[in-house]
Amino acid sequence: MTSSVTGHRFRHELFLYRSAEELVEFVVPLARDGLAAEEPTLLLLRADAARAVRHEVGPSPLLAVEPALAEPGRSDEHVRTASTLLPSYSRVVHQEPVIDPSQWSEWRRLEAVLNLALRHYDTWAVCAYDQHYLTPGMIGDLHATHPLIGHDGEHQRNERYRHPVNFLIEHSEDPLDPIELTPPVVELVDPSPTTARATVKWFSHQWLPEQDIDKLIFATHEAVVNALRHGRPPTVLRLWTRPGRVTVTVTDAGPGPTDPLVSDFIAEPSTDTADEPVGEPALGLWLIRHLVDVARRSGPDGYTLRLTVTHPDIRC
Amino acid sequence: MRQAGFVDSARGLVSSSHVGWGYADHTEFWTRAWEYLLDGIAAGQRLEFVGSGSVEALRAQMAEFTDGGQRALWDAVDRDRFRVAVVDEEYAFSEVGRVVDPGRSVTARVAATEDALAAGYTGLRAVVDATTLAGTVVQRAAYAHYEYLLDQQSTVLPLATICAYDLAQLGSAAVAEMVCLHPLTSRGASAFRLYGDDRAAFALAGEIDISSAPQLADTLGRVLPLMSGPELIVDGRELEFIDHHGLLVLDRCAGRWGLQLVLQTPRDTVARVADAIGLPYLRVDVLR
Repeated sequence: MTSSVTGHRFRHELFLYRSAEELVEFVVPLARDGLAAEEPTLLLLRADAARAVRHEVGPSPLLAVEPALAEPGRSDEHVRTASTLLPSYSRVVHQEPVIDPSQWSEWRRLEAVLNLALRHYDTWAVCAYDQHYLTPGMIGDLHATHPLIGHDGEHQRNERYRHPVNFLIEHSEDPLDPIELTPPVVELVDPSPTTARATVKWFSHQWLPEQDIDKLIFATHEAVVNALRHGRPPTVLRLWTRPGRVTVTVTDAGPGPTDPLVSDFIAEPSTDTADEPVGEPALGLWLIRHLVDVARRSGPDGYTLRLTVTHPDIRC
Repeated sequence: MRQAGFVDSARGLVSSSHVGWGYADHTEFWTRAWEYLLDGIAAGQRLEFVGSGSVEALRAQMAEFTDGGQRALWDAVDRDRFRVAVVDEEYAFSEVGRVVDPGRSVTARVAATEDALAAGYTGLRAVVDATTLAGTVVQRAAYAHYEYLLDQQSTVLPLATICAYDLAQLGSAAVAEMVCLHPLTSRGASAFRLYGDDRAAFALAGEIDISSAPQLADTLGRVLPLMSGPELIVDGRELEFIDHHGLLVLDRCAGRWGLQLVLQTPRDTVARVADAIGLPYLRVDVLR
């Protein structure tokens, strides 16, 4: 049954289901076969499916059943978590959370990125999505990012799979935040990093608590430094405010990072640059992702990073 | 916590202060010198002015930049209470060139402070124009060592010093290297400051980013070898900003000198960034 998937190392499979029963019917034989072959198996399922699968498969020291992710979370955290889990398991099934359309742009890039970031792990990972929450466009993206597809108990090569680098390049645009169409509170051309930091501090203080302002200051600083060092002038900083939310865009006239592995913050960038007190260019971007919500786009106006900090308790 | 930060005037700086000043011209230098010395009169301290050249030339210069009010106050000061001296006599030097011997020079400052106390004063207050001792890299390395030791003494003795450097002669980068070792500095003279602290190995204050990170690396290279480990607390309560370049510098310098640094900061973001990078020789503790 699994003959069509041998020969890969990291096997990234898509499974679309319409009901919890359908999911359980798919997972049970996959888990049973894995345990029969003495393959450590990890099932990340919501409570109902977990109960049903446990009942059908029975206990085994090689089987772990854990709660599925409830929220999409951050891409870099998924990559990190997967990198720590995958060495221990030969088979993994994850019942995916419901992804809000506003988060989809990020999420589909994550699915593409996993093919690169996890390529050295010898694990068969199935991403199980509830079709009810997917639009045809979303389903198209999922086909394009999973080299294997599960259907009717079969696991086959997915002819609609695209090379992740191509997919990432084609989907490097995040949608505009409507606030970007309104006049910014402040706009600076070619600010120094010091000026950029002082500007964010000054204009954010009445909208966000100090710890959130610190995050935005750091992210803006790193974005401006990258624009000044790696982009093309002019660098333009714009800032918008709403209660509990501050948005900053940093645009330079260049094309942006050409390597999607850099722009997608996949691998932990190296800090080992001998005696130079300067890290890799990718490190700044990668850290931005740890602190704030980030969106990117490149076009005729250049390359833009949008940084947003939202304080949930203050949002109106 | 010590009085720390940028100051625009040398007036009102408490008895144990250590101030780094980059001055643009003689008028600015003497304005600050008079502010600093006149406060010392009120505080009951012994006073000193140390510069380059001859004692007579220094006295003449001092007179030239004195206004009527300052002169009236000054004339009332007992001559025994005020010394004018030249750097060549005031400091101990190594055998090669005009490079200060940091340990012996600081010992002399400590002795002068104790003399002042023995003579009934509340302490010693000095204005030092150190420009001619910081002209070359070798001089600056030695003088930075001296500044660090002097700053340590300033936290425990009634010893107040304003260390002035001529921007026109040294350039702003060389002046920044020197003034960053003082808790108080002239505005904008250095992006960050590293100074003695009663609850930590040293304090870091101000802003450290990609443009000041090389200066931080140089400064740490001068002072970390003087400290004993293995674990050193760094008081970062006054550190307003540090980017990843600054954190990498702290980590690498600590590693090079076989130390473990613990940066204490109220800023959660610093801890998150350090954690994300993964720095073996730098731990960030968030103060709640």
